Parts: sequence; C-alpha cells; structure tokens
Amino acid sequence: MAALGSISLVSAFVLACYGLIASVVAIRQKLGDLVYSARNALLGMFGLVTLAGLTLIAGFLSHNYELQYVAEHSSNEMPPVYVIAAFYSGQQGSLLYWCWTLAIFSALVVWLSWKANRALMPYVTGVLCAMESFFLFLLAFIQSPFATLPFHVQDGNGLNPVLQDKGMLIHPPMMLMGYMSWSIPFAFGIAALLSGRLDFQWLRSIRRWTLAAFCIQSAGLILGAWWAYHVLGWGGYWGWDPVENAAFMPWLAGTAFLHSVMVQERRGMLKVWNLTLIMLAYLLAVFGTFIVRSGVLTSVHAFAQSSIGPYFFGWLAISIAVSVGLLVWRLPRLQGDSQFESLVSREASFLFNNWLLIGVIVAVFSGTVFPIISEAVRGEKITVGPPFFGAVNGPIFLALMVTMGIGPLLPWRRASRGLFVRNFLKPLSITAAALVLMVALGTRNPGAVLGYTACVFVMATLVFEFYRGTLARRRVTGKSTLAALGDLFVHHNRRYGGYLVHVGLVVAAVAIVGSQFYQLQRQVSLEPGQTASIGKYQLTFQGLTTTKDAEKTTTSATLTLPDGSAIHPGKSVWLRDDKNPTSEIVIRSTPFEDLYVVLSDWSPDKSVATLLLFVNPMVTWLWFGGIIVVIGTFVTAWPHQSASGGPRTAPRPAPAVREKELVTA
Amino acid sequence: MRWFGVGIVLLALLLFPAAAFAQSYTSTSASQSLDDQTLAIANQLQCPVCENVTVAYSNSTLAGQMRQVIREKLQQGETRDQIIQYFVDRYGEGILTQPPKHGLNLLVWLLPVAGILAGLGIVGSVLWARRPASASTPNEEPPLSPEDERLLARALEGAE
Repeated sequence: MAALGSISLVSAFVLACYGLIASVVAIRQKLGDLVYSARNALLGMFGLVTLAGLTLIAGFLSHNYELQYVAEHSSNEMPPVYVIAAFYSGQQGSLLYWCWTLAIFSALVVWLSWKANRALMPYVTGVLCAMESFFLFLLAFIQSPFATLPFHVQDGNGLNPVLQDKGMLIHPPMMLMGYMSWSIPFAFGIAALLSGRLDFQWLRSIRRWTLAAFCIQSAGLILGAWWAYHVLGWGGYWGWDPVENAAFMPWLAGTAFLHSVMVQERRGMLKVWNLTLIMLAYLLAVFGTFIVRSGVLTSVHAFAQSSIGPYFFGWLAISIAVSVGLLVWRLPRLQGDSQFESLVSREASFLFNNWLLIGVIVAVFSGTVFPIISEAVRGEKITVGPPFFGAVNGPIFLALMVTMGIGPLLPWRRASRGLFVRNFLKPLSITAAALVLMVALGTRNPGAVLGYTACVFVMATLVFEFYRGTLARRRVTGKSTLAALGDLFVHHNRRYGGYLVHVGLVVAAVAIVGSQFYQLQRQVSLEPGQTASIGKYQLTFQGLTTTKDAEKTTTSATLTLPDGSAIHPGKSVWLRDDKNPTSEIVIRSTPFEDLYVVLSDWSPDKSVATLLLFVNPMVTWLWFGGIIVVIGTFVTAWPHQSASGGPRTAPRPAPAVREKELVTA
Repeated sequence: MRWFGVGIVLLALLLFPAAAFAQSYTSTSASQSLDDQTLAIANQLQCPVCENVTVAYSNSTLAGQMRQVIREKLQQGETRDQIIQYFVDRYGEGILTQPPKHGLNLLVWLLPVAGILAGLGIVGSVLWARRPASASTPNEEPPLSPEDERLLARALEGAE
C-alpha cells in the first residue's frame, strides 16, 4: 500500500513536470500535438493523485499502521467517519488534500474551459502543471504521507480530540479548498500575461472560477466560525487567530477583485489593478498556508508543523517574482481604455471598496506578522489580539458598509445631482428615521448606533433596488409580484445575485454588531442549590456528575432553568491527551440571543462549580447571513438563461424602450 | 407612499434587536462580583501555554491556576493594574492580549493607518489625475441627460 501511494505520487510528479515542459516547448515551437500531450499529462496526473488519495483513505479504513501517517492520526476505536477528518488533520494529508483538489479543479478547467480558450489553454495547462509539480515534489520527496514505520504498532495515536467533531468533517476541507481555488484565476491571469491575450476572454473565463473560490472560502470561513463557537468554548466565533486571518485575507482580495473586475468589463479600466488583485488573492492563500503549516506563528490550529516552511517560502518568493515580473513586462499593453470621469460614479465606488478592502488586508496582515517582527527585532514575542483588530477594522468595516449601500445606486461614468437625490432620498430618510428611533429607544453605544444605522441604510437601498426591479419586471411581463421578483434572479441573476450576497452580509453584520457590543458574560462559582443570573436567564446549580467511556472522562454540571428544563455543560479529559480537555458547551439558541454555558472549573471535592455564562445576542443571524451569501453567489454564478443556447427564444423589446416605459410610468 | 410601508417593516425588523438590547443590557453589567472581576482581568491575559486563548477561557491547568491567583489577589485588595503588572513581570509583554503602545509596538498601530493613507493617496491620484485629462479632451457627444443616463445604465445592466 505504501509502495502504491509513493509510486503514484512520484509518477504524478513526473507527469506534472512533463506537462510543464511540454507546454513550454509546444508554445515556443508552435506544436499543436504537444499541447494535447501536455493536456493528457495533466489529466493523467489527476488520475494518479486521485489514486494516491484513495490509497491513503484505504490505509485509514484498513488501520494500516505500517503507514506512519495513519498510525499518528487514527486509532482502532475511532469512528470510521472521522477517517475523513484524519485525512487532513496532519501536514502530509492536508498537502495531499490540497494537491488532490487542485488536480480535480485543473481537470475541470481543461474539460470545461478548453473550447472557449484554445489560445490560452496551453499556458494555463503549463501554469497548473507548475503548481502541481511543487506540491507533488513536497509530497513525493519531502513530506510523504506514505512514509512507513520501521516497527510494528498495534494501535495508532488517535485523532486530536478537538478535531473529533462534526464541524471538523466539513470546515477544514472547505478552508483548504478555498485556499486552493484561488489558484485557477491566478493560472489564467499568468496565462493572459504570458500570452499577451489581455482582452476580455480570460476575464470571462475566470468569472465562475473566481465566484467558486469566493463561495468555497465564504463557506469555509462561516463554518470555521460555527465550529469555533460550538467547540472552543470562549463564547465567540471569531478570535482574529492567525489561521483565521490567513484565511480571511485571500477572501478579502478576491472580494475586491470581484468588484473591480466589473470596472474592467464595463469600461476597460484598472487592468493592472485587477491582475494585481487576483495575484494577491493567490499569494495570500500561499502565504496563509505557509504561516499555518510552517509553524512561524503558533495558534489554535497549529496541529501540524514541520520542515516544509522553507519550501513554501521559496514557492511564495518565486510566485511573487513571476507575478511582479510579468506585470512589469506587460505594463505597456495594460493601459486603460477609458478614464474616470467623476468621483460620484459606480467605478469610483468600486475603487473606494477596493481601497477599504485592501485597508483591511493591510491591518490584518500587519497584526498577524507583527509578533514575528517583534520576536526577530527585540527577542520578545508579543501578542496582537482581538482588541487591536477590532479597533482598527471596525471603522473600515463601517465605511465598507456605507460603500455597499451607495455603490449599487450610482450609475457608471458619473451621477447627476438629480439622480443622486432621487436614488438616495428615500433610503436616507429611512436611515435617518431609524437613527432617531434607535437613540430615542435608548441605544447609546456609539459603535452599535453607527453599525445598525449602516445596516439599515444598506438594507434600505437593497430593498428599493429589489422593489424597483420587481415593479419594472411586473409591468413589462404582466406577471404577479412574486413571479416578477423571481424573474429578477433568473434574468438578471448577476446583478440580483450580487445583491443577495449583500443582503447576507448585512444580516451577518447585524449579528456581528449585536454580539460585539451587547454580549453579556459572567463567571460564577456556585454550590448546589445556588442560583446565578445573566440577562433574563436564571440558572440553578444542582450538582456535578462524572461519566467514563473508552476514550474520555466527562464531568458535567446539571443546571436547571425556571421553566424546569435542565442543561448539562461539561468538560472531557481524554485518555490519550489529558493535558487538553475539551468543553461540552451548552448553547440555547433563540432568534435574538443565545444562552451559552461553559463549565470552567470545579473544586476538588466537587462541591463548587465555576461556570462561564454568556448571552450572545443575534448570533443565529450570522449563520443565516452566511447561508444567504452562499446562495447569492450561486445565483450570481448560475449560467444566464440566454447563454445556454443560441439566440433568445422570444423576441424582447429593445431594452431602452422597455426600461423607459417602466421608469417614466 | 408604498415605499414608506416597506421602510417601516424594514426598520422594525432591524431595530427590534437594537432597541431590545439597549433596554435590557445596560442595567445588568453594573454588578461586579469577585468572579466577574476575575473574568475581566483573566480576559486581558493570554494563556501562556495555549494558542490564542485568554486565561479566562483556557482549559489548561496553568490557566486555572492563574485564575486562582487573580482571585486571591483581588481578595487581598490588589487593583486590576497591579495584578496585570504582576503577570507581565513574570511572563513578559507577550501575555497581554494587545501590545502596549510604546516603542516598536507603535508600529503595529501605525502600519494600518499608513496603509490606509497610502491607499487613499493612490485612489485619490487615480481619480484626480485623470479628471483634467478627460476635461481637456472635449466629449464627442453631448452629455446625456440624467434621465437618459439612468435608462442607459439600466438597459446595459439588462443586456448582460
């Protein structure tokens, strides 16, 4: 089994190298046949990496402890489903996972995008093979998941207890795939630069790949937040942990790209900038993997650290050098087709959006790497924790929200005063009313007031956009209001899907503002019979019980609520790893707040229990916001109806005429 | 006035939580028991043996002992600053959840500000530098009326 895995990885490496060289030769010598040979090498590599991945899974399922990786990350009594989590719980496995998913995406690119990009594909194939050869080099020669143990073991080490959670089955693979998926737009960008085909075709080709990356990484981030909230037991969902930051940064760069690319599509501007952003997204993804996997920073997620740091650093350096070099080389051919005309225009609002998103990246990046700098310069490792990130990013997020409200209502090129007033009068009056009402009702926290005001503003602009669009559609088609609203998502899916993503972000923002400014937390020490209160909840401590099973010893507190129900927060000490107990958190969710209870300590005689109590307002909205973002991305990425087959079936009135009647009506 | 109805519904939806919290949440935080004070201080300290968890929430033995020390020191009448200083003296500045604002640490606060300002400079120069250029080359077509502008924008959206 070890031999099969190793051989497939080495052969895959050889094929990837061949694909790279064949692509280069084919392009230089203009050899059409060799292009197909390179493509076949890429597909063959996909097959071999898949074989290696399946071999490792088989190794886990058959408890083949001859494989060091299997012995270190699984055990006999581990539930089979956690084999999935064990696969990527260590260094080698997560590298193989990245490599495998990239191979799958590469094969999909070749399959789906070949016809539309014949001229570009030899370059894309070459770049994808180059990326794969890097990972396959690491996997085949440096960190093989198929390394064997020289001695025989009866049972493996088992999986890190924190990872034995349902959330772990889906969050890490999403996150890693999110990192990986920025490779595809990057490969197209490099291919466009190399080939000099810097027209719209490559942008059109990567739109769905970029949206896929955005979608996967959004899902990864929200699942990570969900996991942290339900497993880690500190009452929050986002800790500005370096690993979270590392995942957040490519997402920010990709989000900036998804907006600014519209300026290039519409007006032929910002060509250099868009290439820079898509490269930045990929480089930040590699950087993220580097800091997570190299052990440069230690964090909650630093389950696997080893010697691949220098290689990743080298790969990062090469990628940066190639990106910058190509950009500079092609600079003369990347002049904009048109110019900015007004500060008050759609394109200018995208520029502000980009500025703010990059601002968040700069802030997150400096906060994440500063401990390393401090350690290097002063020899003292300092901590840059949530207070820093909150203080710096809070105002930027607020400005982003405002931009999100203004941008969609501005026309391209420039907005006239009349249009500006017409579009903004109603949303702004609603926002003003909301502000007054909020303060009158007693909201005093400035952060919450500003945050919620921004939420109302964005939501108001979005509702008006949907409202206007639906009315227009209803008038044109004569359909019912609901059908007309549905039509917006079908016929203008790009625009209204995007708005749906914005709706999701507002819903998430409501959750973040609420839980940020109105979280209640208390620590209480109770003897049996004593009652503690937090917010509107009253908890009476009844006593502690201890249960044991094969893997762990769990101590649980019984707490009763006035309605007679009981909750049992607990803490488990694992036989394999008694230094790191895990919390059995109790969360009682309601639409507007969660009661969150953690058993923290207890006295040796078990007469006193110390509990951490939280009331987290609005957190449920965060999960819904995340779901809406993902759905919105799907709507946006969905193939346009007319794009599916030739000309539109029914003749439609000329857009200008059609729109005229609805606007004037 | 139909938009007004939509607006009211929206308002109610978004403001309900904000208003509800404002009522119920300001009153309870005033009571500061020994436990709550311990929590507040422990929350300012990074657990030295774990990764990115404060002493307040860490499951480690050391963090449990540190919480006990904080509690004892509070009982002895020490102030919050004294207790935090006690831990800084033993574990170094790295134990604070955010870097104290002096020396090299100022850099971490300055970098984002510098980044934002530099970005503003770039955005500003892109927007401003080009405006005279477009003004100097007279438009071939007369500018569109606002109404037409809007129609065109919508029509283009629809044409996607």
